Amino acid sequence: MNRVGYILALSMLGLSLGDARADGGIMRAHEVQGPFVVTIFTASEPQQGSPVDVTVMVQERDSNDAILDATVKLILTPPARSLAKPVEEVCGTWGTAGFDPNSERFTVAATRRLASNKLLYAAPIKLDVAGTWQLRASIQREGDVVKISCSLPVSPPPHKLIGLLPYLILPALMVALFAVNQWLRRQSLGKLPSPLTPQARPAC
Amino acid sequence: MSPISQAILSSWSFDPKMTLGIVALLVLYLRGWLVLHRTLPARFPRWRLFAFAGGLVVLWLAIASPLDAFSSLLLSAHMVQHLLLMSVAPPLILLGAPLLPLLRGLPRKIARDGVAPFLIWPALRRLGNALINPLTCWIVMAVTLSAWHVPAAFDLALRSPGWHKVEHACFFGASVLFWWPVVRPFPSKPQWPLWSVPVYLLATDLLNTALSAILTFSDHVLFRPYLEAPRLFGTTALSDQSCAGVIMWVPGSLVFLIPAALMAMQYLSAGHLLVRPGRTALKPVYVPPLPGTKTPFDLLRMPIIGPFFRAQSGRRFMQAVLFMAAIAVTIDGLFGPQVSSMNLAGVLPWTYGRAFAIIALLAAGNFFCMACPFMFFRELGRRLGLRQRSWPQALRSKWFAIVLLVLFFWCYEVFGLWDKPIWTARLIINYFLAALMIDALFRGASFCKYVCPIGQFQFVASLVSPLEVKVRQADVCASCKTHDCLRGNERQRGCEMNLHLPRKSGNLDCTFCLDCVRACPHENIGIMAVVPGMDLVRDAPRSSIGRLSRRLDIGALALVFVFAGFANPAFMTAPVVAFQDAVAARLGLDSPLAVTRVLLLVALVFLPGTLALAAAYGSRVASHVSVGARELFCRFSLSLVPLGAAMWAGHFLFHLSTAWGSAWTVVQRAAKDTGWPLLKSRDGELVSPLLGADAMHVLQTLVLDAGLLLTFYLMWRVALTYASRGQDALRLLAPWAAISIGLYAFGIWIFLQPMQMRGMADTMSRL
Repeated sequence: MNRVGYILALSMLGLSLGDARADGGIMRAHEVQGPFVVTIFTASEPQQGSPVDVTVMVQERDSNDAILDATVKLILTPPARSLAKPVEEVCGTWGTAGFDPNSERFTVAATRRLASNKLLYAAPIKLDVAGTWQLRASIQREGDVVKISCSLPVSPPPHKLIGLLPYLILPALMVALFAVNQWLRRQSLGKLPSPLTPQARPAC
Repeated sequence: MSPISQAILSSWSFDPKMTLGIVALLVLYLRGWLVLHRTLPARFPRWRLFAFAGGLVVLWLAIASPLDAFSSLLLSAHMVQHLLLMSVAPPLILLGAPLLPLLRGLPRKIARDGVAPFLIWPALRRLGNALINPLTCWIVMAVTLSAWHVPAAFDLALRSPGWHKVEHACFFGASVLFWWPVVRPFPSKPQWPLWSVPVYLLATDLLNTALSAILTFSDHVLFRPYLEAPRLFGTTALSDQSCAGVIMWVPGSLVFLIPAALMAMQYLSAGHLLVRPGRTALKPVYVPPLPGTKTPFDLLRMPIIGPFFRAQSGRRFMQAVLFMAAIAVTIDGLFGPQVSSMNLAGVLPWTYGRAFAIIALLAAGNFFCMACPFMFFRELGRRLGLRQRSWPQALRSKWFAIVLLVLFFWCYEVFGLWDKPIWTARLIINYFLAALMIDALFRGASFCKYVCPIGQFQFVASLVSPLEVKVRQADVCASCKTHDCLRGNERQRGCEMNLHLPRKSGNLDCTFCLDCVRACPHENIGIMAVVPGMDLVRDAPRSSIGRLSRRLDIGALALVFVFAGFANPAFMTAPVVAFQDAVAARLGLDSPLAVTRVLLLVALVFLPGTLALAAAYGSRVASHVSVGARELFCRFSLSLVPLGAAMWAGHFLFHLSTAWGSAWTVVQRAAKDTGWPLLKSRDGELVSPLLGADAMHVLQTLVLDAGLLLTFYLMWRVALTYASRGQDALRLLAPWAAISIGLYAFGIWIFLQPMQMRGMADTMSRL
């Protein structure tokens, strides 16, 4: 591998793709309804404008076996009096969201394909308004439909610079390392006897 | 297989950062191991390679396999994950004796000048020795193991993905330390006698047993998230916890007990004196010097690519492709719809052409000039038989080209070239005419060397390219009497830029035309790998250029290149647009155009000139070196080029990512208009950016970081050529470093601003 290859490979290490792929973080709701046991997980601290992973687990009420063939929809209601509008980015690049202008709700399908844990149904979504959203999961399977709700507090985004902080510190860190490196090299060079000093000359 | 089992087995999570890190580490190790295996086969046998690779694979499995996906639902899965992270991956990695192979895997210069001073630093060695002291290792392991099993800490890791990663990093790091005194990877020396190792392992096993017994026999669930989690596979939270305890107890203990038993047997056997503290039974080994200097990478020696570039037809093919593209852009610009995002003239040159040119420059070399679309007209001009004159002596510098380059940037903003396809088409036509006229009248490549603004941009940016056209062996040139590379011969003309290859240094004025390669009868010229920018450290006389320290025009050209790199995207940002509007309103102007004109001249001429002159005089006064301000101006202005090139790259990558996919729709539109409908158009389909906004910010920041660091390094090296003491060198470069930091901060600010898309967004919504 040549030098360019190293540089490219090492540069790629620093790249953050910014996806939410952790299959939730904390449990928002856990209910037994109809024939199902439904649990909703989300990221622990959803932030405005960042992808939020919403995950739903559907189980048989009697056996607790995971159900893999249900249809799961997430209905998201923006915070009251917000200026939420149907933006292209509401569901990031992973799915599409339908916007109902009458009820001001977004609907998005959660699928197993989007989950890391394939027993779960996931939908990474991007919420562009801070505040408390209402999240309702609708689960349908063979004529049985259940809906469970929870609230989803979305905090304002941190300043963009905070996300870039590690990459902004990098040059300072490298300069500091280089300074130490140069200091060490000068010290070690200083310890070497000069080729012109009598000690360095071979004894005759 | 049941659907549930299938779902479980397909629950992999792919973390690109970690995967790439592991692959990079493996490649580095492999590179070093190959060298060491040849020189020290007994010390680095094959099994070490397999052990190291196996350790990395286990590490990857622990993080990416279904174990991770289920770790938040099942404590038992989480426990297996921790077992792999702590007890399997670290000892395997250490068995690979990774220190020397990783060091040897680094490029020689980085290992020798970058890493080696740290490795021989006494303070760092003392710290390292203290860290691998068995007592320290045991304490670190015990504290880590105990602390993370406190319910509050474990719950925190389960709720927060960030803390979960910290937990895993702690476990892995502590385990590497813990296993160090057991494995004793070469070349580290054992600090304690061999008999102490079984004791060390048994003491850890006691702690492990205590913790696992608590988990196994507890009558309530210790970690609350598992109590709340939905239950799977008919387990209860408590039975899952007991199962995790058993996993931690039995396989977890075996990991300590088996090596303890093996080492005890080794000690008790006749060969126990093999290893003693402070003395090693293995004979002192000769550590050979770092791999010797190899022949640098030569693109022309590569299969397929090399012959392609060497052949005249290869270059003609590239020129024909760009020529056809230029013709298409011109026709569409003149006669197509005057909406830039729907026109080839709005998309191909400004979104794709610029981005690919800068990527090629920073990743390889000046391949745009090699494939110059104006070459056909230049050749046509040559054949008219009017080439009697030499380029006027008064214009044989870069000043005229600098004026044209400033004019080009000025027109780009003032006339909105990106948004007016017809202006882009007219610009291309004028370019063709200028190339035809100048090469028809004047000898040599006067157009490229003294006129072409795009060429000057390429020349400056190519100073930080990793490839350079240069001689392969200097002694071959020393014996050459004919100098065909410069003068040419009966079958091939020589360098029209008057670059004599043995005295050529760097890429300045080199169009990568490869005439010299074909003219050289000794096949002694290649496209070789060089360290980007290092050529600027030397100030040797260069063929046809002279010393860079005496070329005020080249320093000024570099400054225009750098400051235009920041000014060009700044004029796209919302605050700068608002500022222009506000100033125009305050002055009572109908349009902000006049403000734009003045601001551009300030940004491209006044500001760089003033700052650089002030820095040159400032550094001279501060450092008391006996060198003129003019020379300092020339040398340090060129040191800013990496930062400027990085800014251009960050800017163009943004456009490329944002409008990625728009070329195809515009080509479809153009083809449809000419009656040649291509494939089915993607009506209504949105074109997603290549990278999301966050990832793009990270990429742009990293590119700018690289530019700043290379600029700093060049400044340091240039300063050392004038000042022998480090303090004087720092004083010399301080004003220039201040300019660099200011530009860097401005660049970051620009990248974080909302951009005016200026017609480069998705086209289909308008079609």
